[in-house]
Amino acid sequence: MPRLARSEWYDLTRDMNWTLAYVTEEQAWPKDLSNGYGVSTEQWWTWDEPYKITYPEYVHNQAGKDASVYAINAVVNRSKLFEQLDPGWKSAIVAHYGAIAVPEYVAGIGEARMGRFGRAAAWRNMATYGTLDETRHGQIQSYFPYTLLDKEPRMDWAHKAFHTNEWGAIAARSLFDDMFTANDAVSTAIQLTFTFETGFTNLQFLGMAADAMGVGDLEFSALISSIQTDEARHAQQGEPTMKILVENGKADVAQKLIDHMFWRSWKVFSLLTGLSMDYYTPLEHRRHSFREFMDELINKQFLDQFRDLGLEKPWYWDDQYQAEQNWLHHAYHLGVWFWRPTVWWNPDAGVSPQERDWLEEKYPGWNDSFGKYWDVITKNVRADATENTLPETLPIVCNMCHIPVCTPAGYNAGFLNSPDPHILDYKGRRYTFCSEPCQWIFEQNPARFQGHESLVDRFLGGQIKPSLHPDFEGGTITTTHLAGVLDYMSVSMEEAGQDATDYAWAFEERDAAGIEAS
Amino acid sequence: MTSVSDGTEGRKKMVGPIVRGMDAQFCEAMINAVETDNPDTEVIVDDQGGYIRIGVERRCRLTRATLEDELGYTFRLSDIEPNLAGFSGRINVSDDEIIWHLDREG
Ligand SMILES: [Fe+2]
Ligand SMILES: [Fe+2]
Repeated sequence: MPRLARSEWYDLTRDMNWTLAYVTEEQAWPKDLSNGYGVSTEQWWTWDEPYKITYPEYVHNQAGKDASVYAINAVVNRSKLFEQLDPGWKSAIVAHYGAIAVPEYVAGIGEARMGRFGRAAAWRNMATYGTLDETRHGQIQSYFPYTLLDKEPRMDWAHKAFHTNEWGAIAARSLFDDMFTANDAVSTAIQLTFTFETGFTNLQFLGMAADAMGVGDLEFSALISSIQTDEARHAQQGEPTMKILVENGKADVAQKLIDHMFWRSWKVFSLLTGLSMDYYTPLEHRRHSFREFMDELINKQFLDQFRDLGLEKPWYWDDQYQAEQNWLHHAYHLGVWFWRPTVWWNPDAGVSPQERDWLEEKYPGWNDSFGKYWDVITKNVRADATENTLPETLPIVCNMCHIPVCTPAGYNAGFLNSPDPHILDYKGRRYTFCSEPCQWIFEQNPARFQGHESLVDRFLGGQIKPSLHPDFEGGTITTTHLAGVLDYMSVSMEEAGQDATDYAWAFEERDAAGIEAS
Repeated sequence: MTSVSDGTEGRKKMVGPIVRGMDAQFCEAMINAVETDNPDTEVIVDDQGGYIRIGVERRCRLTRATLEDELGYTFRLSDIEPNLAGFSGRINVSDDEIIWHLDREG
């Protein structure tokens, strides 16, 4: 039976655009939910997705994707695969599920908003698939850790983390609220689908898939690369939205939206992916360093994509962004390891002599800048003084990215002009920022951010009750001064992060001619 | 303060599919099809285990007909999606071919 080519009927089934008669455009597409930035309705109706799919094709593909990934899960569950994984790698996936599973589900809200308030029928059609995609990602990344619960109880943070006041969860909520939960449809297309998905999700979902194959975690590799096949499609809502803004003289709007979300995405991925790739993944299975993956996936692939659409590098690219790529995630790693009771996974120090050689090779100067902190930590561990390697209070937290301010480490490593945080006094309140771009994002739209309280603001404001134990004995979290903070974060003593290998790395010696680790 | 070059100037811009490293036969067919559909150009294949990056400078074409030849069975182009983990460049999907491209000079 002869069939029509898809292109002969595609537009007809897709383009259900409405000419409004009973309500005004502002009533049907309120600015808060869909900021048209002054572009006319007729122009928005030219929106045309470059990656086309029909509903029957979509359903067929998605059913097949789920069938194959769930089949791998079922087989792997009957094996001893998980037990045999490296402890650092386990930490990377426990961190992944807590940081990603529920936010994926929440991303469905952003997609659904575009599915209703997108400014063309073609766009709303693509966003409907995106809504179903993100629902799938939320479900599958809740289910897989669920099947691992008897092997790793902290897998329940896949569901729990986003509902707590754990500091990483506060940072993630702030980011995702800004990007899609509390964003209008047009800005969401630029910030979520274009900046975050076309750009940064590749780091965690492709880069980590490569490492997972090396590690032998077939299930995780299959899972995240399958998710990324959805992302690759629905991320294509960004390009046509951007094209219309650029063609209608609104390139500055698109540029500002990208500059804003590129920076916030960089921060959170250097925290999650940076640590996983350069410290948690077992050395022999690291495909590339985090920096090398950044170069491949962001600094080439993504930069080419947005420059091709007529946009330019963000204003902070050369001075701030390039510099931070040399030091930021090393500082984050040091902080996360030191404040390890405050996270739901077991941070892997990842600084055995061989790992330090690798870090020095990938990040020349690492030993002189970051290695020296680990020298002190190593000495303390060897002297059985681990209480000196645990925190007693909170660090300064940035009022934009909500990640601890690490400027002294960047300054000491030679990449910043000053160790000081950036301070802004605004309407009677003092705000602290980790970087100039974080402050710039705040100042672009203070009303959007001014009311939000960082973890430290909450502590100083009395929402968090410090629990000051007089008998600090060290070593275990039962006696740290942070007990009240952990309580606030919903981190129980059993869950609080510990060194992933029980300090094995600190006792490894260099062989033969090498220098000794301490 | 150390300043670092971002290396974007003067390098080749590569475009093309990034295939999931799951189905070896399919990966092989994709590589061969891209080579056939882009004659007289260098096709760069970077196998990262979990994914395989296939790259051609500036413009990469993949046709349904060639992919069917390689696979040995009929194939709807949309069925590529479960194996397409990403791509570099911009994509354009039509009935019988996919083009990845980058157009901006410099
Ligand atoms: Fe997703
Ligand atoms: Fe997504």
